[in-house]
Amino acid sequence: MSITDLLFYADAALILGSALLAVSLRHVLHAALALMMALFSTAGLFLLLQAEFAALVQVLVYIGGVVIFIVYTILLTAQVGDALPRIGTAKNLRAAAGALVFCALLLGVLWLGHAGEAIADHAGNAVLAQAGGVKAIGRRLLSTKPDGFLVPFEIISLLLLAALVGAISIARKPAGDAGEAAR
Amino acid sequence: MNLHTAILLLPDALLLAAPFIVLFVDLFFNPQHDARPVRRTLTVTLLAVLAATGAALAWGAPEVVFLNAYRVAPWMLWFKACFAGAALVAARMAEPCFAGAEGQPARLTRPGEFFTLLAFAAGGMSLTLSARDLITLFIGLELATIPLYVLAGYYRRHEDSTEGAMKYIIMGSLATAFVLFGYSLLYGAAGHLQFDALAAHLAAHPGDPLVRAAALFIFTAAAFKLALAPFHMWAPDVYHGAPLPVAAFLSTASKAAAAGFLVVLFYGPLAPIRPALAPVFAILAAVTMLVGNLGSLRQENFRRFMAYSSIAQAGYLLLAFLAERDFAVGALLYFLTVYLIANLAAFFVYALVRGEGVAAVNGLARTHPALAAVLLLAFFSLAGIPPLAGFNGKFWLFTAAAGAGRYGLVLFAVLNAVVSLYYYMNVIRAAYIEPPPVGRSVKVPRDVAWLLALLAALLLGLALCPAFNRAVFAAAARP
Repeated sequence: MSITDLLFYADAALILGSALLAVSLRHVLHAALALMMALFSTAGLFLLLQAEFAALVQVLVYIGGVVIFIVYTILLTAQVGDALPRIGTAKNLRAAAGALVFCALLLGVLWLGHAGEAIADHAGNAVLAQAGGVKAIGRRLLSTKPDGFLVPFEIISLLLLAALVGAISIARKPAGDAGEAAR
Repeated sequence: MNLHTAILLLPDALLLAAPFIVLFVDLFFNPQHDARPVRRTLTVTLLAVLAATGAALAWGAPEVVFLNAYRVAPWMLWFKACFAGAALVAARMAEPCFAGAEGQPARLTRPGEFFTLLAFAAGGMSLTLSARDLITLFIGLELATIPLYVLAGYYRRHEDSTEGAMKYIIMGSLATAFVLFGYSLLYGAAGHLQFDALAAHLAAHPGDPLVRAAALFIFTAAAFKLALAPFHMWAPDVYHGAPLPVAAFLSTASKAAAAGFLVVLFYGPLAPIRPALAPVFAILAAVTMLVGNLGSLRQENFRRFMAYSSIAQAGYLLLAFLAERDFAVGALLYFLTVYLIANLAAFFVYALVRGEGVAAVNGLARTHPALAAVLLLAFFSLAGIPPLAGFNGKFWLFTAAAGAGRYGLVLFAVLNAVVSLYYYMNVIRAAYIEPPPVGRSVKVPRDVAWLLALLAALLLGLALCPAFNRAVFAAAARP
């Protein structure tokens, strides 16, 4: 077992542990922090795979964006000190059963189809060979060659604008509401 | 870019420009933020989209690929016309809601944003179909659904609307998670995101269990969007809470987009494993028909009724995926076009009558015979009564299933169609036999009258017009 393997298992244990905490802790803020930990250790997984850019994006987007956003939402809406309502054992058991079935399905698929090395062969190497740092990613994002991503890159801006318009039209106070004069 | 490419790309370009045009008109030329100018702008833009689509179809060009990443084929143009048409009718239906029509839960505000989001959703649906890689496909699907989350909750101080929108967001996010997980498995198996490379990998390894699991996840997500039976729970609540025009758009364009998404994948890169999934399609189709039909039997609220009715219709729709590509796409296009027209017409009549219950149309034949006739044609077409186009649509779908040798399923579908006849007839009975309520005033503006007349004429005329049939199957046959 190499040092990379050891690091992987340590990181995987960290991800699993903090993910479990995130769903089982009854204090919302603590759960959010545990989620942050799980996402952070996932970034570690990317580093182990030598995908620095993916690790960076993981930290930036998930921790810098998503979790901070969740924390803000909690602070602005819920009573922070309150614990979440207790979830019944039956519900917990059902959720656990669902997760186990899902896990068994994935393990079964991986075992049946690839039994270890095949995935690394045709996917991992291809990914590593293509990735090659931030510069290559940037070039590929704006490339019009068959393996480029110019069109989706441009389309994302439409999605962002649609989400912005939607968010603003939900968040703004309705005109004429609560004694406010109609605009 | 040559003329060829330009002509086939024009409908998409116009459709994607529509939200911007609407937003700018609302910002600079609509100081009072009235609904009418923005709705008119959207209508004109969408009419231009429809004209461009018709021109591109008439041009008879084979598919084009733009920048190696954006594909437009004749059958996609047909779908795009459906999205634009549904948005056009839904927009016209929505305009009175901003004026505070009585009978609505509340007055809608902010027409500019409403019509912008509607146009964005139609644009996203169009993008989904034209994708040639998983990323574009994903972004297109998100662009098609995120505006709909907002639109579903547009009555913001209204509990049902907020509840429906919340359910829609949660179920929609779950579907998104499923589809992303499926994509990641596909990427893990093939190492590529482009459809061509995925197809090459699948042709080389047709039995790869990783790919099969991926296909199952992706299909589950599409089943959420189509509201197929075990994944249909959100639909009645969302339709119930959403403003009527949004429910109309959800039950038509959104379903067509989900069907188009399935066509893109299961007759595209995932084609080699479609036969393996055929039993799943068959079982879900049967369950969906049954659940939808049994659910519709006892609905008092019109939107819930239409929600279950459209669940049942989605069950019929799934039969197409049992057939080979050309016939399946042709049958789907025919069925969806006719279904869209009939559903939009039915929703529009209820929007004019302004009632929440199915019984709102009681005695419509005595007070407004023309409206009652439109309702009659729409529901007869949805039920699939022979002289109407809805019969042909169902006929092609059943033929698709029969062609795949699934006669038992066809028999089951026919029995279901008979059950559906009962509840569709119930509405017709209300409109023609029940006495009208006192003091109902229904105003039909002239443009709406023309629109409804057009929809009714299409329902009658398309079935009797072999050219329509030929055009649909010709568009479907050109890849």
